[in-house]
Amino acid sequence: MTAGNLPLQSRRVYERVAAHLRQRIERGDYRPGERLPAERDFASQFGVSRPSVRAALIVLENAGLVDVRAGDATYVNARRLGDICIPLDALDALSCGALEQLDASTLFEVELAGSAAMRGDRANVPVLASLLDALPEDHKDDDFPAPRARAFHSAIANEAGNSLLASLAIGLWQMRAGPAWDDYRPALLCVDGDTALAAERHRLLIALDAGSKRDARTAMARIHLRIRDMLFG
Amino acid sequence: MPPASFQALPKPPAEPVRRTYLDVADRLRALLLADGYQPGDRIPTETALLPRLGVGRPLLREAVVALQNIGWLEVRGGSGMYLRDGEASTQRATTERLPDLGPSPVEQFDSRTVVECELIQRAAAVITREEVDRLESLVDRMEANYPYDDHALGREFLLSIARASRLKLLPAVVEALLDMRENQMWSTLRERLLRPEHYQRAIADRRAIVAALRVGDGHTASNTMASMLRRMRAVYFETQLDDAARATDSAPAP
Repeated sequence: MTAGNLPLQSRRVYERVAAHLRQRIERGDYRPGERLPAERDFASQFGVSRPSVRAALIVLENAGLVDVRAGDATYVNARRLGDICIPLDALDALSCGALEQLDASTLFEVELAGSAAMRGDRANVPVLASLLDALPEDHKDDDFPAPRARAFHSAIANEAGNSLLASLAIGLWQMRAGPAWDDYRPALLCVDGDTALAAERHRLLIALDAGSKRDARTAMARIHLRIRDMLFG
Repeated sequence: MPPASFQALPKPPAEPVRRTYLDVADRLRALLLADGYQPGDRIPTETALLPRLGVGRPLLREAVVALQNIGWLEVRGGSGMYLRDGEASTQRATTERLPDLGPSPVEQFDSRTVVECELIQRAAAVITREEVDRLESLVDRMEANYPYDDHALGREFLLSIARASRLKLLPAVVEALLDMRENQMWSTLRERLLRPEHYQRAIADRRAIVAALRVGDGHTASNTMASMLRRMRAVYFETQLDDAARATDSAPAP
């Protein structure tokens, strides 16, 4: 296995490593419960830095594929998370408007940002930062909803320690593929290029890093206000 | 008109969620097995376990409830927590992880708090006089029932407020969250922990909520709802399970 086997040179190093490891786990090269090779082994195998390997493993951890335990030990996750108990299809069927959906996500994500500041793992902030750096590339993809914005907001939701609230917030991102958003989708694809929005997201990361619940809530509220203004203002 | 390529897109797969309390349950189980506890043994109290796991009591409570649910732990009222006899407690459990048990009771409760405080604030701005009257008569019926609790009336009270908001999505979320309470785990928690004085306090809170809604004071209504839910949360998740059970055992049945 060499770095030459990693696909898509244009992507970030950690994204390529994560995509490759995901493939190997899904293919069954590494079995559930199995311990993965050490970070330094992956680093020399792929010819990348250890921080890149670490960032890739955290991406996989956030995706529920691996479990990073104390002292550099990473295991393939044996537990697949089931359904979320909130019938998203039923919410979809309510055919409520895009604005009401956005207001609901504001409610959930502001709450989650505050909890993430209090309870989240500070060590994951650099990963959030790299997700944020990749965000302006979102509009280049044809698929929707913006996968990088979704990944960024989902990762913050997962730092909050409430899987139910997180699944509601993440579910609302999914619902943006629905008909209520048809008219707003082109605009929605452009919002992530907005510099004011990027600045607010940076402020959010600073608040998470500082563990400030109030600042994190404020920053998330302003992110949503900005999106609301751009789409519905 | 948006370009055709933007329409009728398949829903992307959801980003997965992380369930912290299951990780704590895994760690608790591994810790007890590493300490050499056998089926039938009494394990340390919650208070003794807290510093070893480095988590707060609500999170430990969630982990204990999860281990109870899979039949690995048993909480005996007034006596303590025991490793269950039988094959559920095999040594394999040291490395095995718990199955996904869905969102925990604390997660459910905290999610409800967020949604209900928002809904009552929205409702305060648009609720009609007739709707407030109906809420009031629900509280009257609760009071008439005292010291028994009619669980269905509490549910109807919350759903009526949700509907009064005129929103669609959040009321559906509240209904789904309330449905999640209709199971054995929640009725065990209710029976074990709730006592007449809690019902009495909650009835007074609901009266205050109705009064605030009558004058369109969403701020007070929402604050009262929040403090009512905060008190219930403390009863459910922050009292010591075996102490509370002891008190319940010796208390006269309502």
